[in-house]
Amino acid sequence: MLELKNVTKSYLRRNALSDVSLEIESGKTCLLLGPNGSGKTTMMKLIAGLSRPSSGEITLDGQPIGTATKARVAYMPTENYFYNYMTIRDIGKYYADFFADFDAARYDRLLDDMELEKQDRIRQLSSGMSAKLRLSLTLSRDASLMMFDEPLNGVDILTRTQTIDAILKGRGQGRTMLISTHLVDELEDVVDYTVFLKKGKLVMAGDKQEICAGRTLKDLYLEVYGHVSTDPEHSGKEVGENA
Amino acid sequence: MLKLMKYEFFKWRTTLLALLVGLVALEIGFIAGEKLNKTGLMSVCLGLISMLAFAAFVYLLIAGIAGYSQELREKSGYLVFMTPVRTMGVVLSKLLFIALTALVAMALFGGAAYLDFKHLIGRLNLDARALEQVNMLLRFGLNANATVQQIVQTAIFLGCTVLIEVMLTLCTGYLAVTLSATLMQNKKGLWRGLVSLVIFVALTWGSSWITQKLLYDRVNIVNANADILRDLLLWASLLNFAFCAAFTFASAWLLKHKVNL
Repeated sequence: MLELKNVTKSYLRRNALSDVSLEIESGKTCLLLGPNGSGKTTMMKLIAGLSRPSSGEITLDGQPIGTATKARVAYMPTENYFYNYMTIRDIGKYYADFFADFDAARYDRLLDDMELEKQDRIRQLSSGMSAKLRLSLTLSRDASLMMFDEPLNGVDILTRTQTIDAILKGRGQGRTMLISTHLVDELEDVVDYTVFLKKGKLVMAGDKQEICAGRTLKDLYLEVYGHVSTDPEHSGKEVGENA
Repeated sequence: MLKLMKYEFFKWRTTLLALLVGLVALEIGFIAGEKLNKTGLMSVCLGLISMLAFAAFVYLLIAGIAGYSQELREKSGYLVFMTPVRTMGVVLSKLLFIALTALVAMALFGGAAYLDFKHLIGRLNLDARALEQVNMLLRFGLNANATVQQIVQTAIFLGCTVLIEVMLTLCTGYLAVTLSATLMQNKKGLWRGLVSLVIFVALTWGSSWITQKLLYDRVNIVNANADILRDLLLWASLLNFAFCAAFTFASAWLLKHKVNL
């Protein structure tokens, strides 16, 4: 189980996350939603151990985030994070060196599926190819927790479909998945649990079926962030802020 | 940590290869000068080897610190800091790689320059007094009765002293960059660089002041003999080593507890 207890992350003049408490059970596929600046990436970086909470605690199966949990967490950031001198083959070897759960055969298969060549240099990759590479690396690990930060951004429709298929195949075996995205309707059918963040605060979190209560996730998203009710009783009328 | 050092080597291999090719080319030039009896060519090649050695050391220091700073500022830092390696291991892997590279560079460039200098001196028509002064330099300041073992020991001692000085500069730079990353988390570019520089100067001044107070102020250097100077250098090196250790621990602690990528 991934647990956040009263987590706050402050920078000089603002809180990127404010007193967020959350529990995500193992095996769930969770969608992390919110507009730009809502704290999604900050939350993922805290869980990945790339950043420290200003206060509060984050644990993975009871273990505080640290060196040991990094071996069990696979994080796909939004941007390229490789050394320019590397080839696609080199980065695979790097992952194999440091992550015991890295499956090199699966990496090769995913590269074939994504039509990436191992001898290509990182600096030669387009943004879409780089996104495919990041996805292949993350999915090649048998991590307890996989996090994908906006995996559908900046890629074409075919790649988006490939990405969703690859993520779906990666589910199961008690693996927890945390996906942040703006493209709610593309992932609506694949998630069990949803978290809504707004300006660093937790607006709503729970099983998708329960919190949607008959609505689509997209409609709920519009209601939370667009201040428009999609509840049939109040259809089209503005509602107060939910934060 | 060893795996991280391997990848540090991969990052630096092009630069190291260029330095090695430069050294080999200049050595070929020196040997060609020797065969053709052209002391001018030998002198130029030896001078360039010395300059290349100095430039390589300065580059190692600056690039070592700048590369670390870059990893804290840019996304490429994720590659290292997402791995399940302790922050102390991350910092040590970088520092030890630079230390080993500096050691190998010192051995290669220093050894080449030393041997070339001996060859060159043999071809110049120096008077007896000048020749003795040069030979004393080649004996690292030891008198004419010094054995080969004593010369080698002195060379190793001086080499270690220089290496610790290099490492102290590097460790000070790492701590300055890490402190700057801690204090200026929202700032990038010029401001963070300026703060790093100020902290670096402050740490360097501070460690020098401590060394001055603990060691140099207690010894009359003007009237000191060779043994006292050697002991002073040894204690200064030990103190510098302690500073290296303290700064490295501090960098690792800050990385673990305070720095956000």
